[in-house]
Amino acid sequence: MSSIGLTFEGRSIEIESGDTVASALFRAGVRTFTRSLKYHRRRGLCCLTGDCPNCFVNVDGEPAVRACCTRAEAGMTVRREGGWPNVDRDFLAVNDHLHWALPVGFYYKTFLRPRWAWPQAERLIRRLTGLGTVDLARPRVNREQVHHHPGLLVVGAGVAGLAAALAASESDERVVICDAGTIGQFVGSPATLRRLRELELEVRKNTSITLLEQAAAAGIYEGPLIPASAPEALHLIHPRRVVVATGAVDFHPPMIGNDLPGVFLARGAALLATRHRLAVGSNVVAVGAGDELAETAQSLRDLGVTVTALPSDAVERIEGRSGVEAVVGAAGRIRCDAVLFSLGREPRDSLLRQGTGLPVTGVGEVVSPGCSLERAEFEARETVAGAGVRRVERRVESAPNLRGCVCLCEDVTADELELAWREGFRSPELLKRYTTVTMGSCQGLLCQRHLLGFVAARADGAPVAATTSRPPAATLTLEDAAAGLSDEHMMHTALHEHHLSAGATMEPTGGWLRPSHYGDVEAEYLAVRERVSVMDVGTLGKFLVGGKDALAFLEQLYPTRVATIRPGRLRYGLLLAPSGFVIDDGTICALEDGTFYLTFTSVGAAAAESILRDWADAWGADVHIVNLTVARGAINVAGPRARELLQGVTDSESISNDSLPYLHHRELDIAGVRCRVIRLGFVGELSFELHHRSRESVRLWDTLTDAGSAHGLRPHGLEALRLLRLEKGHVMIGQDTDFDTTPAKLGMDWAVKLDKDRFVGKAGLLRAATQPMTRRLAAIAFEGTRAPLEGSALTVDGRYVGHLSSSRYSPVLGHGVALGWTDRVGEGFPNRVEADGVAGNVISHAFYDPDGKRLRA
Amino acid sequence: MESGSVLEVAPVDAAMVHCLASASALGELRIDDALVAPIAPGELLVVSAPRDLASVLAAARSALAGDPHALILDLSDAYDGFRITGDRRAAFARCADWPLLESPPLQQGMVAQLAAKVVPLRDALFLFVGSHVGHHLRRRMLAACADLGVRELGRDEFRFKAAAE
Repeated sequence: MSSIGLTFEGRSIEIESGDTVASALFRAGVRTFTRSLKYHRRRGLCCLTGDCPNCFVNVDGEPAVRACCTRAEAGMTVRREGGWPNVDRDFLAVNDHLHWALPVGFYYKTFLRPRWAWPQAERLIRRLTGLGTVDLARPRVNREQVHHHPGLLVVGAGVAGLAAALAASESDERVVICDAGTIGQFVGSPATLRRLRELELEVRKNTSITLLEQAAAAGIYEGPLIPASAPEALHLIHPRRVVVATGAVDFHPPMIGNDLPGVFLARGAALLATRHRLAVGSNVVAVGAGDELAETAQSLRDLGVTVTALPSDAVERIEGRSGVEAVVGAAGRIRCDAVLFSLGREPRDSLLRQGTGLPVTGVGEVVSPGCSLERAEFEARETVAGAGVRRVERRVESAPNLRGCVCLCEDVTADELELAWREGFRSPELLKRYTTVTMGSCQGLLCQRHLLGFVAARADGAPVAATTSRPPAATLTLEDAAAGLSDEHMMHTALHEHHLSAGATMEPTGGWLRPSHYGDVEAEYLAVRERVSVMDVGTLGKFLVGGKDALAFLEQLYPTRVATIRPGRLRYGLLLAPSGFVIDDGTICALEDGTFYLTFTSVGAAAAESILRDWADAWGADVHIVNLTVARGAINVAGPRARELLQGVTDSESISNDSLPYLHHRELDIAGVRCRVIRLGFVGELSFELHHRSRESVRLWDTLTDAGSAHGLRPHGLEALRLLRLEKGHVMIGQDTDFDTTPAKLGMDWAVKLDKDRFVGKAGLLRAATQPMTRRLAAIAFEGTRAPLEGSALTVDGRYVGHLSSSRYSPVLGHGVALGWTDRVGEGFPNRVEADGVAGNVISHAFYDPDGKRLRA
Repeated sequence: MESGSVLEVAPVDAAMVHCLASASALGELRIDDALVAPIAPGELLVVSAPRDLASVLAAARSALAGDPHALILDLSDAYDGFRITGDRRAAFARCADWPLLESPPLQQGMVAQLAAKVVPLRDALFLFVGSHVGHHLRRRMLAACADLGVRELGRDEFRFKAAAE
């Protein structure tokens, strides 16, 4: 029967058909699967149903994988984590003898003095705890989100869940079933499995039912919305109603020795015996009562195991060193190598509790723990048909004598709960936060009962309520949370494929992918300065504003005068917040028909649109605002030979300096493409921005680059642009501005007309004007042939006075050029500064072409 | 009816004309062989076959002539369109966090995390998203519907009359 193998810590382990990683390792003799979080006690298989934290292993580099839920596959590499140097011989097990030094909340009480101790201790604690190490070198996986919109979602594919789904489908309701495993994966009872297989046949042939296996529901959110994590995708399910059929798990007994390897919940032992033909031991004590336990005991006897049955209250503690050796109780000391408990059922009701107030109902053991198959099935059908909401409040049983490990996940003992109680944490919620009981991977499934019982025994009859259940109810990875958010969501201009074909290195900026460079930044830069170049600026924010109140609206919005912009002219415009702080900048073009064509930065376009629409609504302005950012492409043709190039592809007179001077615009056919041609000069050279229908971008670009080859044209990317604009001292919003930047601090008072009646930000600027300016943006010309690093501190006589926001070496000027924020020093601002070991002078004009003759050419 | 048929996705060209005017003027707008749908207060979107663009623009200008501030803009370049045939409801459900409704004829919402305009017709479903993110919708749809046996077809044109009830 055995055929294929997995690798476990360097040795090959054979696996059999139907094996999980847990069953394969158990068959190979592995008994200690991990170490506990704090005291490094041995932990072995316990529930076998994905409910406890005892079998977390590393599978193929992924940490914290539940061995009992993971199908064993050939070629898998499995190793244990949690011990040092390894799980079998763990030096950190000394912690189990140092309880006095590691009391509950010890990190609030220790390492406080000297001050340097805590960071060191914190680092050490972080290294020694946790559930494993994430392999950062693993290839990234882009998982998808898949949505579903059924009438009914059934969480849990047990007998009750499948019966509920079939009942709903009879009335033509579309149903989705999701389950953390496959149907029957965690069922050890032959009778239950037989009935499940019958129902499964019906479900699989029912076209109204979608079955999502290995899809663990992580929570119930408003809507309702239920995310379910599956290997292939994150399923986002939006049903009209939800049936929770997640079943129940055996109680975990609160006694000394309850976390030793060899302590099993009865259903887990049954699963190993009936599905994998594995006995949990050779001499087993079965504690509890009921048909299911009797059935399990018989299954073990069939495997040749000696089983001693004891009643529920017959065992007081479990003894052993590396595993169970004996149980001690009313019947004395009984030697054994495993003990299994069937003391009652704990409902897996965290999802049900999250669904309070939503159309969420429970069926089967989650509302009737320990009920018969027949009853579960009958009630499921009735509940679905009646559309009632069934929830069962937890019954709190006083537990005055808790012993041993209360919370397996967080390694919290009964003694620690007692200490916390004495320290004043006297409610379930406080104890939860202070001790972290119920905060582990099982989210309180196994320990909530003990916590409530502990409080009830001490609460003098006061009501005791369960802690709030919150998502996630199942283990989620960051990969699950990031599903559907791959970086492919970046926006592309119409020329994207062209840039890639031209060998461009793309960079993400403002949600767009744009060419950083085409392989030679300096050559691109020199093409602009000496010949001609083109750049794809289609990412600029582009808006049309029309309507009866268009002029009044813009006049009230912008700090510059809009009414005086004649058709065919344009003006620089700052977008200000009511505080007067700069949000974005761009241009305002007045069109012949009374509308206005606005541009904003590529990064700020989305925010600008929100601001425009918000103000239009707030003022009740009768305006039409149309976002043309995507509909219109834009190519900037720049360089001393730009006009020469364009004259070859359009009517030469139409783009002469007389016909189209600086800060003017007009519509022209360029190479057969209708363009709004805008004369600007962000790069400091003769420039024409060609705004056109974006589907024409490729044709226009090709024509320009073909015609431009005779002029030495070379396209340029963002890297060249950053230097070109810096040489002109042009500010890049975001890079050179801060959250509290006013126009005055940028030296842009000229862009603000404070004598206007009103505009957004006027009151803020007037207030700011009453205060002395404490910092400002300065243009700094550095000496020598090296530019200081961007971000460098600015100093005067060794004293910090600010930092550089932009810095580059200028090939045409032969020195470093920079913009930097400088603090006021004494009565004024410094004129000479130093940064990164380079001295520089603050200047009051553009570094390059200070008179602007080149861009007005 | 649609379940079991082959799921096919094809890029489509469409004329997309935005009309912004007063509510009273927009109320007069009727255009044959085109889908006319409100998308915002004071704004209608007219979706038609690309070859009908000129007649749509002319009809819109004529109908809105009474509003001197009306804007009629061909924004076809702003959109990438896709036609989905076959089990289109299942395909849509995979990509959207809201259920596809029978009406109105043009619905707006997030599809594959993108702002989309959705036109459900009798024999096909049309999705329109910004042309700067069309590549993303295509990839996401093909990935989310891989298990439905989705096939990709060549480019086609949006046809309203032929597809309408």
